[in-house]
Amino acid sequence: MEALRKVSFSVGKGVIGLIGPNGAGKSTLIKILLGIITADQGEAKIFELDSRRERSKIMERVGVLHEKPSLPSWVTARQYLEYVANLKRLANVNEEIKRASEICGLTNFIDRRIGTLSAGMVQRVGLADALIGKPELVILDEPTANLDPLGRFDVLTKIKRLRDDEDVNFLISTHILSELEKVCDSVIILNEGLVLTYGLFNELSSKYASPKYMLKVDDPKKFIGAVSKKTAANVELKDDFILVEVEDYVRFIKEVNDMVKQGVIILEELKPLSSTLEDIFIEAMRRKQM
Amino acid sequence: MTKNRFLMNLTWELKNLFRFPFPEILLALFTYMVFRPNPGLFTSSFESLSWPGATSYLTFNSAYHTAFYSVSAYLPMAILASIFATLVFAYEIENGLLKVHFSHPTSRRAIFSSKFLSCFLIVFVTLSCSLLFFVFLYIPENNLYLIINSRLTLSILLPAALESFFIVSLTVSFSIFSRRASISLVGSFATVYIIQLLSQTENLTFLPPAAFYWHVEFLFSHTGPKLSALPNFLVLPIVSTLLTIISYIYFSRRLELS
Repeated sequence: MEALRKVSFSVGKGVIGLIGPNGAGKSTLIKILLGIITADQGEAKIFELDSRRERSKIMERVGVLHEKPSLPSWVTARQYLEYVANLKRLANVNEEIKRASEICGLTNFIDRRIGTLSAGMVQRVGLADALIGKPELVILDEPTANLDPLGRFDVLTKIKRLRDDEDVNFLISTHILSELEKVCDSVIILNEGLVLTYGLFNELSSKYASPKYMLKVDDPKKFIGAVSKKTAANVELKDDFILVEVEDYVRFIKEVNDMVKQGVIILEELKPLSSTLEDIFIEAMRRKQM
Repeated sequence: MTKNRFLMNLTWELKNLFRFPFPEILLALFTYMVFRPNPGLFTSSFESLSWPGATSYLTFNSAYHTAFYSVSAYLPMAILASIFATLVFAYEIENGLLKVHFSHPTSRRAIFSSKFLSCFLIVFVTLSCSLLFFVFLYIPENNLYLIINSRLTLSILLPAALESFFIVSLTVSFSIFSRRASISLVGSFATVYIIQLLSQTENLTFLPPAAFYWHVEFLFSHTGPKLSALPNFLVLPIVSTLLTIISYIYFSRRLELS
């Protein structure tokens, strides 16, 4: 079965989101990048190093958290992180363990056997494994799976801090787009083994997502009836507010202005809404199907 | 000085396998083997032998006893090796732990070698301990000669190494190619058992455990090495080496993890 086809992209620094529906090939792509499986054709490189032949060199500079990580249950989190730190040939092993465990909120559990930890705590040990030794790139496959809402928020905050303060780059594969958009700088969208699109979040936002406005008027039904289909692609009434997906925002603003001037409606509130990653994803998928 | 990743992996794997209760395993093995009959074939008096003659005779006697107990220990060691190989290979492939190992800066070669060697060392040490115990239990004269005759020690350790190498290479190959813990555990033991049945019922003496007697004939015969025993002696080391090479190549170049 062909999992990936003609996948070709290069991305810059920062937090890169890897998104796509189930079976799109996200995990396969990560495994190819890490040299865990081999592509039938082509080559995968990280830092200009061949992911299969120079895997060890790559892994000295890359940290990885797999989806549902399986870690040795018979050692403590400290012993495991010591082993990883030694494999990475770190000079200051204890300091690195302390740093990674503090970032991942493991300090109180560091001397407990991994087999006795909850799924969320095991996820944190896996995260500490990925972050130990200040890697240049951290690849995270579903990093917030198994974490409670507070834990998710905590991890996202730490990702932001590591990116801003320590210049760590991330490649994050996740289904939770609302979380990803809080941290990502650029996005790769995969579908059925193909790269649908990739680029900076802002660029994709202007390319794929139509501008949206939220209005509050005295008579919403009158407004919906009056607004032109040419300027508003989609109009939706939500509680007291009207959500408008705009085709041409210059014409739309002019139209609303005219309605107010002519006394058709009384405008109480009008504000633009920023497009979400979900909007970009849905639109990219919709255009693919067209 | 940079630490050797192979040694780090080996220490890690040995710690993993030392979770097993080895004193209890050895005790169970001793108990099992103490009920095996003593071959007691060589009972001639030392008085009529010269010093080199006595040394040669004792080495042969010891090697013969080693071969006899190697045959007895064959199935218990196969069970042990099946468990270890399954634990360090098939189980880790199945539950994703190997994927995590592959995401660390260590080569597949180092991972395979450390896992294989850890299995081999533990099986070898367990087997050697039990063989030494029984050879010295039934031939008390050996206690004295062990100190002064390295060939006698070799007559125990070399067959133990060859048997361990065969069992471990077979179980490891099965474990890597099956990729499933249950199949590896049952399948590798069943294969070893079938080989034993073939060896006994079909009189295929180049197969283990009957083949262990060829080691004695070729390496430790008190009348000198018998070249006629060479082809049968070579079968096991060659098969073991081939299995190890195939497993190594598959693991380090072809193994893909889901």
